[in-house]
Amino acid sequence: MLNICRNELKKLRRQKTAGMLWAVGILIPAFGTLLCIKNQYPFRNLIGANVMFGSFLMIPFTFSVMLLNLFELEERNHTLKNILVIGIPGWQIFLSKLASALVIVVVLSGIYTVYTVTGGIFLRNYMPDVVRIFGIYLGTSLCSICATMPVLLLIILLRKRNLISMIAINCYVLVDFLFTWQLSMFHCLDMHLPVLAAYRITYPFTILEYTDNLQRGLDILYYSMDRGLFLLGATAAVSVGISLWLYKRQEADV
Amino acid sequence: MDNFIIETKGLTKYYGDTAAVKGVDLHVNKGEIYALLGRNGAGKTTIMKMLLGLSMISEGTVYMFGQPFEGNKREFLGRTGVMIETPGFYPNLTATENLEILADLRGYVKRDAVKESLERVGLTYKDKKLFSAFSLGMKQRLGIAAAMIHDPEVLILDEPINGLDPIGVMETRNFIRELAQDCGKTILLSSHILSEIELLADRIGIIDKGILLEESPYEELKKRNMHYILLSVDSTETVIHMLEEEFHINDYRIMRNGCIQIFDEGIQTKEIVRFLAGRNIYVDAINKCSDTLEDYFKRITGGEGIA
Repeated sequence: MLNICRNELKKLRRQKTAGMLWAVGILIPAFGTLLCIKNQYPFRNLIGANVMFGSFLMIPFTFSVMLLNLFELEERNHTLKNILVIGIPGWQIFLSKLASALVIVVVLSGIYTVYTVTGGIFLRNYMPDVVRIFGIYLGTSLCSICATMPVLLLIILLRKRNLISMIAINCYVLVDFLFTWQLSMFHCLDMHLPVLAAYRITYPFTILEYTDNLQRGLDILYYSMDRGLFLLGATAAVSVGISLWLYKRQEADV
Repeated sequence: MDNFIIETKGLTKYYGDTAAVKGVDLHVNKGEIYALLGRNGAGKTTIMKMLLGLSMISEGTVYMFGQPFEGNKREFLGRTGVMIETPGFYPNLTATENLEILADLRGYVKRDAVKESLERVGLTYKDKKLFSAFSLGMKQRLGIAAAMIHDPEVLILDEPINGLDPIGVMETRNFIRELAQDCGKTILLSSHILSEIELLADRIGIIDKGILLEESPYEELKKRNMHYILLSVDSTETVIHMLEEEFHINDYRIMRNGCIQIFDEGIQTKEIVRFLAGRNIYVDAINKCSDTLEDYFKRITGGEGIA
């Protein structure tokens, strides 16, 4: 399985779409970091900005488009049959693509950690706790990915129509981000949307130093951890399960 | 029975209510080159896909190496090299990188397998040229290299000479022949190019509209079916009736120009002439002729030629 996953990543070598995705995933949080440095925000704001724009926007976007790319490149290049005639079952191919996209999430979380640790040097209240910062980004990113997992259904259903699938998954990610970003404006505190649960249960971890203001925010945003994790886990499991079933049905005749 | 490397029993494939392949009983012996011959859309690729588990079988069973394919899929695929339809590779990678991925996924290939298989088909190892810049012939060669990377016992090649230039066709033909003769590989290939099949195949399976019409060794096919008597008379129907009664002919065809082709063996032209003359029937012409494989193909499929 690891071997298949490694080879999935090799397929992205010199690929323009993958290159552009990496560039977007890497550069946009860099601008956020520079903005925080320029305006001399406190260090916690840099974390907050990278969680919001990195973990809840760029990572779901990169994950979804990269996953679409991984599935779609087999369709476009008629290469799936090469793998199937080796005797690798369809479910392993499916899961290895998912795992490869998750590897990209981990790498991007690492890159955001580097930005934060480097940018933080120039900011007030700097806390160079690399492990904790990486943990914050990885945790928020994984929760955000679980919440975004229904996008996998769109990818599997629409992957043979590149343009439509690209538009659909981008719309999905953007709507999710709008909900998170404008949480209070949309009056969504009573809603049990997976992405909102992901944001609300991870919010306490992103606070490095408590202030009255942040404590108030925490009180408003409170969402029980067990219910949140169940919601995210169920969303991810159901989405992966249905998508895998659909994928196997579609690939019965290559 | 035991010597069949690939055997199918009643292999059938339905797409909705339409049968793409109907009750195919295929028998491929060890070490032979078996060619599936048929027009485009006859069902050759569908049969190959079903053999490899790439397409669901509606009815029937596939046996490979004397055992049912189902349940032993992974093992059998490990002993089989495949090139189905147009060779598909990642355009952003070089030939070497593409093959390295496949070799890595197979996991049990020799250290120099990529280099050897590329050189065997005349491609350069570690060449920086990307697959997207390959010509059709180079792509075809790479497809064959990918099929051989793990030194399989059986090769299943769908239209292996498609898109190759004349030299490439000759090289591939020699190479396939060499694989069967020198390395003892069993090769199942499909083609619609009759001239190539004639030069390559040990056994031929003729398929039309999803039905395997005939399966015979090429030499036998040549001997048995390529000779016929061409008879030109005025009253075709009457003559046929008389010949059926007298000589018990049953393998014949009436051509559009009124001539009769008699394929039954053991009948002499002089006997026919004597017989018809005795019944006051004037014979315009009578000849012993030889069919080409294309003529034979036309005759048994009842239609146009294919190449």
